[in-house]
Amino acid sequence: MPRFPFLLLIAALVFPIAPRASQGPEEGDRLNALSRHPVWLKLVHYEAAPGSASGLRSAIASGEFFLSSSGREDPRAELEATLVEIRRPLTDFEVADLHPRCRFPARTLWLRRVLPGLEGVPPLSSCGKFLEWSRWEATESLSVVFVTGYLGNPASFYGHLLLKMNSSRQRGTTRLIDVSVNYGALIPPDENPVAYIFKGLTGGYDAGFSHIDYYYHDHNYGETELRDMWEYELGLDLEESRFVIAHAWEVLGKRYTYYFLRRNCAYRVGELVEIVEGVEVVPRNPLYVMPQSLVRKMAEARHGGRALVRAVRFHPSRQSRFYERFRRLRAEERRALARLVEEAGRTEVERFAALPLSSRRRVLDAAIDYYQYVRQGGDLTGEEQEAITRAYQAVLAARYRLPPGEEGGGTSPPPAPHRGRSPGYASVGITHVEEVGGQLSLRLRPAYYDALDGGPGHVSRSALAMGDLEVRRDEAGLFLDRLDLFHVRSVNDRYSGLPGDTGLVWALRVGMERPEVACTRCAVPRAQAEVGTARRMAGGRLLGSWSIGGSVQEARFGFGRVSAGTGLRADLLLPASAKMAVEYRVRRYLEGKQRLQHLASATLRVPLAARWDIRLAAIDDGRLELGASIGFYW
Amino acid sequence: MKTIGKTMTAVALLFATGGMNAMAEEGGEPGTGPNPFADCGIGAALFPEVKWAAVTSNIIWDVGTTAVISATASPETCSGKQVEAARFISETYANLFEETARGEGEYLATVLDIYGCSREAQRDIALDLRSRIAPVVAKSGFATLEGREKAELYYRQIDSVVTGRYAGACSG
Repeated sequence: MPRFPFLLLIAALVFPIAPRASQGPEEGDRLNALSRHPVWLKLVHYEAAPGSASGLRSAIASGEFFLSSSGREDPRAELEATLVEIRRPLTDFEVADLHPRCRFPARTLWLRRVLPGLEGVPPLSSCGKFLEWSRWEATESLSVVFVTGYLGNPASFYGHLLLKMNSSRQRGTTRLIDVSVNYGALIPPDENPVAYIFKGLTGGYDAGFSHIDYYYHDHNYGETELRDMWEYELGLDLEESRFVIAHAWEVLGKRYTYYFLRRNCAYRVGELVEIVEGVEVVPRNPLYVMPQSLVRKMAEARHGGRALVRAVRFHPSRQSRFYERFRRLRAEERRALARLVEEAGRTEVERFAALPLSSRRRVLDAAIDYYQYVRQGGDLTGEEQEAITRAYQAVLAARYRLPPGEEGGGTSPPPAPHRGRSPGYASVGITHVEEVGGQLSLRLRPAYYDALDGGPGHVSRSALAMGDLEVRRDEAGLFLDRLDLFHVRSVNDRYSGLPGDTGLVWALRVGMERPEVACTRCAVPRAQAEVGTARRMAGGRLLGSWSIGGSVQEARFGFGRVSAGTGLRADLLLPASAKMAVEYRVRRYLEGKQRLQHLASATLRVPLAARWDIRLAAIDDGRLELGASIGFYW
Repeated sequence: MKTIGKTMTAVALLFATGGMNAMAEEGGEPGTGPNPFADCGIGAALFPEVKWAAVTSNIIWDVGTTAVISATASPETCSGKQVEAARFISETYANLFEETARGEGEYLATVLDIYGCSREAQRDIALDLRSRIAPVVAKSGFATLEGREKAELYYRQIDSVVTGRYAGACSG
């Protein structure tokens, strides 16, 4: 077909774009196709909605996000309204920033690109507020920032993601004054935990995007919550980066519904990036989307013939910086630090004063980070806080008395979260229970990790699992052996050994399990909690912990409802990345026929490859169970 | 009484360091423009308190306007690099005091970037600032100051340096 008539046909179709009543069939087809274009659907956040006439409904509920009264469920109507509105003269609006072009700059940019006949639509130069907020002329790139998990808050267990808009306004590693965009739920003050979990899972909260200079997050996460951050700078070109930024402006302050499992921060931040055609970063798991899963997918993705992720940068928390400074101290410097802490920061102590200048700098810098780290510890009394504050001031003042300059510095980054494994785990195995016989076992753990398989992006030496299910089969059929609805174990291994570097261990577990080894088909509902202390030994290859706690369970099979107990545990790092956990527990029931229970267990995990492992387990409470399983991560 | 004592301590520290005098000598005029900490609500609580569901990991907030809600000055006067610097300092003053002690660091470089100070001048500015802040930190009353007071102290010191002797290098 000759090109010229074809171009005329295209021109006739796209210019001018008239309201539906006066459109030709070709224009109508063109608009229909455009209203179903993947980018348009993403720009307006349409999702499948069987109850809607179009089969679609926007995830955004705010009326001001739509230019058509039926726009929330009608992509065609919204497209037509947008085409009309962005072509209105600027003089129709008292404030230029209220013009639809300025409220919807991404839509404007995209429509100008796909409909070249939109000469009547000027560029965004009149959109002062948008240009100022976005630092348009200084745009360099975008980063997705992964915040590591925090076991002190269920909403933060699995980590967090936010978007950072990198501008040339500042150089440096962190670029603290870049604008960041964050997605979160609107949670009322004093919300109780039960409502919090229920509403978070079932869409009981509104949510949305907000913006703030990045240093707020850097300070809150890194200094207060002691969480490391990983920045994934994307290799999008300038036009693509600006397109994402323009869309972020469009959705700021708009109301979504928050779903903890899937439509969460990872999903929504990923959606922003996926505005760019050809970019796919949101995992297509229908059950849940986890921040770490997104960064793994993002790190593997390619765009424009190159890796989507241009660079990965580690932003250590105060705790990580302290541990790194401590690790680099020589033996005599560590002794001087310990003495300094004993003397509440007084540097007149001989052990410190005799050190060379470089050592004194290192020791004081470690002390400064130490005091800022321990002051974040919970349950400090007012007196303890004041003592830390005074000691901190003493070492800070001493630092000023030394010549300026830093000795070494920087933190050796641990393996990045995208190098971690898949979050789900399934295993099949065989067990033999004394006086019972052989059983087949099947385990399914949708997320996330335990003390034997924690890795990059996980809280070290800890455990976090939801919906961890084990069923078994014997001659009589299938039965539930164990279900952890919720299991979290938080461990601080007291890396420095200094006061306040807590060594705190706490655990919560809610689910079902059998009360004794040689008991089949007797899993009972149970909730338990414990608290204790841990200490690393043998250069970190051994972690010893002790805990005390209690549990409440259904009183059956001769066991009472309430018990209290204590336990000793050793976690060992073995060669070839193998790990072993050995545990001894004593449990005393306050009622029931069986009052005292001793339980010893040992579990060995040997990784076979990135996605496979073998586990051997032995449990003995007077009767012995042995098991072996092979597992797969998905 | 405790609050009054702390306020007096803060003022005493300022006079002890000659901060106010230095500004007069350099020709800067204290009071020009808004006082970011008083007039623009810097340091006011920016985040809503959520007790159990802690804190800011997944909480949305309206920071586009929150910092100005408690302001007494109009939004037009609560802008500019001095106010931006004050906001930054109110959040990160601890890191700034520490990096100033070392004479370098990203927070220190950031606040000087906010002031538009040239890269070439930043090291000298940092050293000058360090010499002013050292006696402030050494005073016994420093430890008992509230965070906002420490932030304001730091702001006054850095503002007097960059708007005084180094005004020419910080006009970007």
